[in-house]
Amino acid sequence: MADLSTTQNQISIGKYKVLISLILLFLLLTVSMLATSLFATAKLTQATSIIDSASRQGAIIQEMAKNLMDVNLYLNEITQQNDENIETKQLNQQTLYRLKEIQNLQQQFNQNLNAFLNGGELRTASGETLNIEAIKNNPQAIQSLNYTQQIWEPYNGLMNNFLRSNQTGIINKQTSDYLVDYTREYNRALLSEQQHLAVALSNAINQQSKLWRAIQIAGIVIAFILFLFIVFGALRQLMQNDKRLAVANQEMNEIMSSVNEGLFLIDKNFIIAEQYSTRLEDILEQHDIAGKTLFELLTPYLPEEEIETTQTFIEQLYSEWVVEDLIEDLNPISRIKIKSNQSVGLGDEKYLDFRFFRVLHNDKIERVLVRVIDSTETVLLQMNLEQQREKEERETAMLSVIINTDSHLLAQFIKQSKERLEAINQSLEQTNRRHSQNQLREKVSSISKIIHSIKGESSALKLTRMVELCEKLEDILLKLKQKPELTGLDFLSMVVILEELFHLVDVLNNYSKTHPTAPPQIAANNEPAQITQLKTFAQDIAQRSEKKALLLTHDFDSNILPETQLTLLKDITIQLLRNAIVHGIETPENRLKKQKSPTGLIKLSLQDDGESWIFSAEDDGCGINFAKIREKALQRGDYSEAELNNLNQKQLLQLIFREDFSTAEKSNEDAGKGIGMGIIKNSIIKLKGKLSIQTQSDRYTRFTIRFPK
Amino acid sequence: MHKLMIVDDSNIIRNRIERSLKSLNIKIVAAASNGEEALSLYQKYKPEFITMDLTMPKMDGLECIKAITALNKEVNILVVSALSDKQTGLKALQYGARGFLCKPFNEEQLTLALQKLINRLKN
Repeated sequence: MADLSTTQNQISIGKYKVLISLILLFLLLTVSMLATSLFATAKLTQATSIIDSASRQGAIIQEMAKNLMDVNLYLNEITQQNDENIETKQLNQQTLYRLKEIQNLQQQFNQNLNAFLNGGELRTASGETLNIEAIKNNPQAIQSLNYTQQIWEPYNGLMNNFLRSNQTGIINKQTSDYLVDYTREYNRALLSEQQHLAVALSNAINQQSKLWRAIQIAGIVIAFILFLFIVFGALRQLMQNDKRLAVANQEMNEIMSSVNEGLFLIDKNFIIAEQYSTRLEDILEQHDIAGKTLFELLTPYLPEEEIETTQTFIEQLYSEWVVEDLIEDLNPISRIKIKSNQSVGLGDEKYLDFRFFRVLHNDKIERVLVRVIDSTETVLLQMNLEQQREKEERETAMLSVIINTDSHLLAQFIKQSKERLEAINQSLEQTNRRHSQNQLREKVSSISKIIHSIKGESSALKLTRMVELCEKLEDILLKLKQKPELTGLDFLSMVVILEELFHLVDVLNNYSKTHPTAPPQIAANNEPAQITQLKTFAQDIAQRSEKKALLLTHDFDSNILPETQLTLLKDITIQLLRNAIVHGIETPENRLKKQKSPTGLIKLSLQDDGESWIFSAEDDGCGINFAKIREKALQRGDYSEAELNNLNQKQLLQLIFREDFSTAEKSNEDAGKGIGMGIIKNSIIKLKGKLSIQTQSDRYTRFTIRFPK
Repeated sequence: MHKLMIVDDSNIIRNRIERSLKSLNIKIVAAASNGEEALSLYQKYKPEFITMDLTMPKMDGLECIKAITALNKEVNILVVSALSDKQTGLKALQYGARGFLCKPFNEEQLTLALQKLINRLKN
């Protein structure tokens, strides 16, 4: 489910291509400007030196002129004749010095002029040498240089002549005169040419400077514009990104807050991520979930072992080769039950379903998405449906049993059960605070008796669910009997069970109305259904007690009785039968030991003596066990041992009719609740009959009831 | 055509699995009823897919999975077992199984599970 696309999350350089190229351009421009600046500065410095040197040429000319004049003056002093060669020995120091100076200056001028014209080493004012190229592209300068050369050459020649005196030792006065004349003539021109040169060079450099300045200004302006572009571009990108992020965030929040499931992410260390769905806190009833480990999250609900198994399971999800869909069955917490503080459907419990999904980044499993669903409603619904289904199944089972029941019997049962249940209902409805303890206990007692009867009859018809329900009621009633103090509320727990009993009887009723059940069955031997039912009943009880019993009914034709009496008699019969088999008749082994046949016999008979009926039920079992009666009475604390010894058999027999008196060791469907005799007693009273009991140990027990017609 | 080996000690289950595979591009090259047999048959036929029951005599499923993945960790093992204990199932995965199918299963589920394993192989 959670195969997220991977490339969305990469930081894509592509978006910023334009911005980056602008920035590079800006940098390039800045560097160029810098280089240009440096270059311009260097060039300016050089130019300054050159111009300086050019100016210096003028100074050289001046000095040369002065020196030449001075020498000439001196020569004029020491001689009057023209064209006279003077020995240098005769010259004074000053003049000699001056001559040297002239030579020096001449050399300098030559050097510089040569440098200007053809390139080479230039002597600067500070005495340093500077290598330059010949002056080009400067027509003014070149013109000046040419003029200079024109004027200088002869001058230079004359000076060479004059200065030959260094080698020859002779100075020629005429040459000196010529020099002075030349100087007087051309000195000014020479000077001004040097100035012109300087100016021309200066102009040239100024032009260049202007150009460079323009370039620099342009460069700066462009750089500035670029800068603005970059800044605005970047800002715009940022804002766009921010907006996109905000929108995405908003959408994410909307999803997370409205989804009805708990969703959260965990990483390989089981740590829960920042963002999770709002509903999660509600479902888990926890807060501040982000940052916790899964272990911490689940600890309130599960034992440590189970959490570890869960973590092992999640680790499998990270394994590339495991197929996610194929290990769902191994999820240990696909459904768990937790205690809840919220009031939900069923008390304080909630059902949570956990599912885990892989999250992929670049085809790698980075995290796991966990989904938690509150499935309480679903579970409860399922449980309800289950209960419904079970109920229906029971009803169907019941009906399939009923299908073979004689319709007459069924009708009888339905009618009686309805009446009995109604009676109980009435009794319960009338329970209120004004009842005394005695009255409440009386209720318990009477309800017990009625339920016992219903149970008996249901058992006879094999309606197991109804028997079950009656037993549940009997359990409740027993507890109530033992309770020291009763209140009206204690009876409430019976209501639900009663309702189901009512419901089942209704089902039977509806069924019998719409389905003509088996017609009054007449068995092969023409036996009425009632009798067959009793026989079957006896068999069932015998089987449950692991005994063998046979019911003899050839003298018992109950159909001749009117219905009310019949009903009562039937109640009595059922109870007596039960007692006979459970208490009277021994197990087959015991019977054999006593040399009786292994199958016990129970004989029912009904006789007419004119004014009354005589009904008797006789079994050939072990007889009434008076010792046991004594024992039980002692146990119950009804009488002391001494008193018991004084009771005769008749009195002892009366004991067994007491409420809850039973000598059975344990109670089950058939015996032990001590109610059966009570029913017999009540029924006899209603029949206005008299009971007599005959018994002989190990031989027989006979109950005889005589009642008026 | 993919090769598959069935490992299960119940004949009935083996037959059921065999029937389920008819619709897939899979050929059954071997069937074993216990771990030892499975191991030796694996070495003989080298199937790409194995369906493995966990509770078997003579070397149970877990040991068998361990042994076979030791020989070749690319083998695709689908555990087909009753789910009495999720921990055992998880252990099987830790040893190298790649999927888990719970018994009782119907043919559709088995076919789907194997198809998923095949698809995984293609990726």
